[in-house]
Amino acid sequence: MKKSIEFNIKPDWDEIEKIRNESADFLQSHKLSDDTVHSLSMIISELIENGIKYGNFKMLENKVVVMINIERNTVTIEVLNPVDESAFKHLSRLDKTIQWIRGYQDPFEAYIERIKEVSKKPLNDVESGIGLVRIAYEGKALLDFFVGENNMLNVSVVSNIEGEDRNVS
Amino acid sequence: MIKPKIYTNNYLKIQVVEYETSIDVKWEGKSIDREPGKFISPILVKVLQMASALNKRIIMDFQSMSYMNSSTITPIIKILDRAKKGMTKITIFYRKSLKWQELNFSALEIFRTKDNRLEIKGL
Repeated sequence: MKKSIEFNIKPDWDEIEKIRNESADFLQSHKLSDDTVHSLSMIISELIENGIKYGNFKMLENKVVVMINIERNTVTIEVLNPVDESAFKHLSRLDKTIQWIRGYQDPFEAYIERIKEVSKKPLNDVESGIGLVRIAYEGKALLDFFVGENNMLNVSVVSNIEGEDRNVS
Repeated sequence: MIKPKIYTNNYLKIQVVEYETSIDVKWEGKSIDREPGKFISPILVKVLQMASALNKRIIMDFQSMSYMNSSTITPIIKILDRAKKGMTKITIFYRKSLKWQELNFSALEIFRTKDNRLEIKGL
């Protein structure tokens, strides 16, 4: 059975649902429970959404790359997208948010804090603001990022799989 | 019962039905749009205004939702915050057996009021 899978995605919003379904099939083939498949698929969707929103796709060949790797006790998800100098604000906010989440022992507390904060914003403010903290809380995952070669932003998530996260057959 | 109003957008269906003492808002499907608030917020604001004017409880049922992106949770949170500050009565139902619903909706208990004007119930 393949331990890893990679997708190269056009920066098209409709692609997200397609990849969410295909990655769910891959995760299910590893006998992960429905709840675990759902939370990992949520992580993949949220990261692709960010990749499409903040990536640099001026060059037609630029794509969002998704890599999923399953080990015995962990699932690692990496989402890469090209960035340019206009992404500085996004990268700074990404760094700040990840550090802020790490400041909480329990990501649930961070999630609650963010909900309180977001609830005060105007109704027409389209910024979600809870995607990354939802990944940490609902996905029980550790987030990190770096900008690598060719200005590729790599956002990675490591999620621990416990016994109950697998289907017992 | 007043004739249901059905709003659909992509994979999401929101059905609003007015009863004698409540306004039921049933959510079905998936919400995956880039800016789902543009579709959701006007519906929820309208329901909030109706409930307030007619003194009816809003019953929002999410049990038939299979997926919501984070941008979908945001307008729901904002509506709950506004309802908490006013006088509107809201009950939220979610499916407790689905872990993602349990994690996301139980967190919304921060909006619960002591007098049960706002309540969140896992079924």
